[in-house]
Amino acid sequence: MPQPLIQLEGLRKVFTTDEVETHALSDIHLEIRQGEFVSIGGPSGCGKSTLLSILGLLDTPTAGTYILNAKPASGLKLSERARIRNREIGFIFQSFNLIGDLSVLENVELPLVYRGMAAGERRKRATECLEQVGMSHRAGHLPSQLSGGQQQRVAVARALAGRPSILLADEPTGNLDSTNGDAVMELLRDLHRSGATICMVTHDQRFTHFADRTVHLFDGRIVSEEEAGKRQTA
Amino acid sequence: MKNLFGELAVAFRRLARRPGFTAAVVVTLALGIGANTAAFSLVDRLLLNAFSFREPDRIVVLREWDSAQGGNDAGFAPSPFAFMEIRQTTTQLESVAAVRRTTGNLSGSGEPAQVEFARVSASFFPMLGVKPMLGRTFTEEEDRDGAPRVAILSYPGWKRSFGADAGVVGKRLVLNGESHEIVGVLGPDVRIPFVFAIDNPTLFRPIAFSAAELQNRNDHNARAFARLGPGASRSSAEAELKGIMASLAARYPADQQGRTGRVTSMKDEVSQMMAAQMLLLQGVVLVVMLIACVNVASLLLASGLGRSKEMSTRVALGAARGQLVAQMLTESALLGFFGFLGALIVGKGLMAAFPAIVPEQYADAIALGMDGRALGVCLASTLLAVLVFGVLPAWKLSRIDPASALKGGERGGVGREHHRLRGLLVVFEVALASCLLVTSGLLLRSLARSNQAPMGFDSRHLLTARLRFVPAQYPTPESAQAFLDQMLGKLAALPGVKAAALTSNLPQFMGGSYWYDVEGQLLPNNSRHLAEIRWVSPDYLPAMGIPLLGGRRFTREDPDSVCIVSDTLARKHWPGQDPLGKRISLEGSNGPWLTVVGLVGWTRQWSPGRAVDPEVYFPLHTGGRIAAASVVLRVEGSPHAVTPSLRQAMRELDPNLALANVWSGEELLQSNEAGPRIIVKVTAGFSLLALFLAGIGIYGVMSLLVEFRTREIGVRMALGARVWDVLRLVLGEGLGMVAFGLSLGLLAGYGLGHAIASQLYGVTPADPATFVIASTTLALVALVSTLFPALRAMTVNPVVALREE
Repeated sequence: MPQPLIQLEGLRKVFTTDEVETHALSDIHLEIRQGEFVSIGGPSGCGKSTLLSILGLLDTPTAGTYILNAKPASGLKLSERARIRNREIGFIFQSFNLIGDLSVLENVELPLVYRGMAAGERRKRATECLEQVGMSHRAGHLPSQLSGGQQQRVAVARALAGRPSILLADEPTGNLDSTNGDAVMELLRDLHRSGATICMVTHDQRFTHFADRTVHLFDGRIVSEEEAGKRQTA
Repeated sequence: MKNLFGELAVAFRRLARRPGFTAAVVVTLALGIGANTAAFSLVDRLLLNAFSFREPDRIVVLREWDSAQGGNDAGFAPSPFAFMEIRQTTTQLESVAAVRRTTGNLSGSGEPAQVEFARVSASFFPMLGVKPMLGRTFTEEEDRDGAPRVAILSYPGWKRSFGADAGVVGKRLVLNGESHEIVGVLGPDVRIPFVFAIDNPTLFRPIAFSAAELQNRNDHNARAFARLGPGASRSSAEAELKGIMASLAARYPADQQGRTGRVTSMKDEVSQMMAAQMLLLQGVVLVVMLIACVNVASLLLASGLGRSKEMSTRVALGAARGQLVAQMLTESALLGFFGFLGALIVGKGLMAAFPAIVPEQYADAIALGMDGRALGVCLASTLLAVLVFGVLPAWKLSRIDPASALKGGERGGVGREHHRLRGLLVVFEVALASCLLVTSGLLLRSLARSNQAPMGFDSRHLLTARLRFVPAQYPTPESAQAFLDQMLGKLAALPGVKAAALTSNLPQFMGGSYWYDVEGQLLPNNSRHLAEIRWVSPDYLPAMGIPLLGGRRFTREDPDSVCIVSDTLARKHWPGQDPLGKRISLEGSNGPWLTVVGLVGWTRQWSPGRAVDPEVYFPLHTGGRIAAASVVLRVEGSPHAVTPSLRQAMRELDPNLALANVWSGEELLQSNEAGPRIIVKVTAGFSLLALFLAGIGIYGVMSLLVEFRTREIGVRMALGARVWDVLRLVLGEGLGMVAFGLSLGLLAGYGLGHAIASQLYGVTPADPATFVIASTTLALVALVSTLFPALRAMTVNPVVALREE
């Protein structure tokens, strides 16, 4: 059996504020394999976004092991974490997080800029990604000139531009109406079908069926895992 | 490089999309940096004078030194005799030059004008390492008594009196009735520092000591300067000068006994002359610039608050911290560039305004331009400002929590932290501004006190004018005296004139000090006392409003063996005794002795901060051929109402006689110590600028505070808070920060006041009025700056506010 792309062992995350400890995540064991589409669900405050932050190297666990692409992610320096984020991970945010002063094309190019890629190659790849999400005709526009659905498509293109090992999507339809939400989910499914590994946080039950597997969190613990058509309770 | 252009383009786009923010930053920077540049140029001109000379560090001032006396009175310019001795025997000095300031009538080209000019030895310009813009400098042959008269024009003189005529070299001018050939014109960059004591001369002519002057060991009116020779140092030159003076003392003990020599660096003398003021002005401007930087940093932090989501996204996409800092600094640099352009405009504007705040005769001296040095300072200030204001926000934003990207930005945490930081910045800038207000308040009150200080004469209803006689027109003392009598009669008869008089020199303007001995009180080792000496006409005392305390005024019949002394001199030499009938001598212990016939109140020759000098008056008609004098008119009503009739009377008396410095008594007072006065005024102006900038800073922070707390205000209102509660909340927070900053600033102001205590007259560093005025002014500005955001907070709609976020 191939090594999982992501492997979490006994992961814990505790926030301490004014001597009060909040256990955001407890004893998380999770594996995500290459090419898998995993959805993480659960009610508000259950730790979904914290888990995604740790998966995306935006945050560090209090305890436990995190292995990404066969390499332990603990003890990495800030610059190493930034480099891995840039090369291995593609983010799709709930509120799109496009940079208002940059054009659509420049937004998509951004991860490649931080990688130090030559401008010509950068432009070529960003244009390809925009074509992939059907937004190349809007390359010169500013984000404020696009609808929410279009902005999220551009955000997906930006996530794809770096050719990451995994796409992490945080409530990608949370700020969209149902039509645009459906369209974005179709886009993610297409990407998955073409081989992308995706980990998506959502509390919208309508979209969990797009995933191969759904992990349910409650009070910081995995309470159940459900493969498409099959449910397993922890 | 391509990336840099790309970053610049994005930064430019960002700024263009936020015109309000960009304008606020650029205007603040332009004011701060522009003020800094203009102040530097002023200091450069007034104090450093740009030193357009070759190796200015090697130029030294030579002095004879009376070893028996202490203090500043002990040093004086070498006599022409000693000057020649030094010049002929020195091995340490490359070139030795003599300089003497004088005034003269320049005529021949239209209306005659009285001008300042300098008599300099031929070695003067080579000593400075200055080459003329047109023509040449003087030759040694031209610097000999009886040589054909030649002149070199200064740049302002060339422009003012000769219309910047490019073909002026070879033409002739008439100075004091004598024709001079113009042999050269100096360039605009040649400015002679104050230490040379030649104020903005129109022209230079050779000093050409006469044979009699060259034998004189008691004339100390020509200053001596030199350039150190190769391998020589100031101390080796001083050792040599002491040797020369010792040799002179051995050969001429009657005149030279007890005399030694001193050599000081010209640059040191310049900086010592006004070091305190220079430091003060530089400090003030630095504070203004710091406040501007704090404001800009505060604005950038506010802008950064709105960009926390963008920054966290960039971090999530893999931006390294260095890349974020570089991006932020690119934007700061772009702002700095626009600020630099604005600063050039502001700086030029301020420079153009400076001449308006100084007495007319100094306007030329501080007509500043944006030269290479000013441009360099402007650029350096900009770079410094970009570093100061750009680094802090860039560093803060680069530390953003990347996980906040998943939370839709970090408005809460970062906002609170930024707000705390901005609060600290407000405290800091209020402290700086209040410290500056206290300092300038102390200086202004000191200036006001100094203006009100008793000067020993009545400056109200007083008109004075300087005039220079053409010696050739009054060849004998008798003819000169007859002319003066005629003039005084005509002036006294002018409508509105109550008394008319003449004096060789006025108090508060161009003193004339001389040594004297007191009968029965001779000092050892040939040391002598120093007094302000004036030759005056009989009505001088009533015309000036100087009280007669004993004895009598001069009469037209007085012989040359009488004098009047001030009570300062009388107290010094004859305490508790009647000075009338006592005797003094100007010519040494062998006399002739002059009998005191009158005792008058003291007058101040210099500023109130300096001790009053002893004064001796002599009858004008005994003074021989007086080359220059000042008219003193006691008038009814406004002094300048008499000016036209004074000028008309002078034209009728002698069309070649030029009047200069036609001043009221008040203007005469203002002319004294113009340099420090300019500094005080400029300091006050910059303090107002600091106050304005601090007001903007407080407004900016309070506006953001209201914006940041809109939701909280909505919640409070939903819970029943009244508009007054909201007003109190916002005002309380704003004024709390201001009160803290003000306390720190007043404390610092108190400390700074002590540091400048020596500059103050009639005001203590803890002057309560100054502290009250400064605090009230700043509190009012802070109240107004806080009130508008507070009023906006009162209009918050709780429904809309709660829907936010």
